[in-house]
Amino acid sequence: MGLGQVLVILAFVCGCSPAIAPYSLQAYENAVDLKVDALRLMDQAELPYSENERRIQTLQTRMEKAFEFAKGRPKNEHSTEQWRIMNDPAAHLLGGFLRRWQTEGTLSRGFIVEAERIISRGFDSIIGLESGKVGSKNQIGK
Amino acid sequence: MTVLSFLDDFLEQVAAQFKEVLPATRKQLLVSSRDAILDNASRIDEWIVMSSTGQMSRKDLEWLVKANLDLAKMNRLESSGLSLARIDEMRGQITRTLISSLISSTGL
Repeated sequence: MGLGQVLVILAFVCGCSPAIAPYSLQAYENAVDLKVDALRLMDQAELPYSENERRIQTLQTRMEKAFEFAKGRPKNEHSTEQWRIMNDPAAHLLGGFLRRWQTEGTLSRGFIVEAERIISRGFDSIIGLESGKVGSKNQIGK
Repeated sequence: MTVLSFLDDFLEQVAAQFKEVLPATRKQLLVSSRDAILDNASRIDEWIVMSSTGQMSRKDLEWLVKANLDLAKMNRLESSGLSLARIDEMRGQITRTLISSLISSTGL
């Protein structure tokens, strides 16, 4: 076999760009930190929204930053869409929960517990995708 | 060794790798989908009971059902993203297989 043919085969196999962004430690940490903080804040939703407004706005800013970070990475459409749904006030995950809290003033304990369960799983889904990307095995747990 | 015989050997090795990975992925997908459907059904039953006993409002119940749909979208994005990550991983394996096949066939 000639060297030229070998190089053509190698270039064909190695030259394709990846199908999805590789693992990012920062994206993983963003998701884990925000999950913990969001669930802790949601637990306060029996109290009036106005008493927690400052904390809620801080969390919303951090969520927007996480979305923008995901959006800025090439080939990262799946994670970006996950963050968009999580943050969207018109949807029914964290963004929607915070909007409902703002509209209603306070929320019932039964609803909070069930919403926390769903939103926690939403964050798990973001974390699961990030930790399943290529390169995660070398970095998680470091 | 000719290019054709090299490619035959190489593709056989790739096929063997696919044979191991694909059935496991399919089984994982089926089990997780079944579990998710059963879990959702039992959750909604619980919410209906909570709503009828006044532990949550009708509006709460509607919101949670819609939240479950959004969660399903999140999980679909996770699954399809992970499939792409597996494709990248397999491409990496194929590259390694190709390089080792080349090394053994050329005697480098």
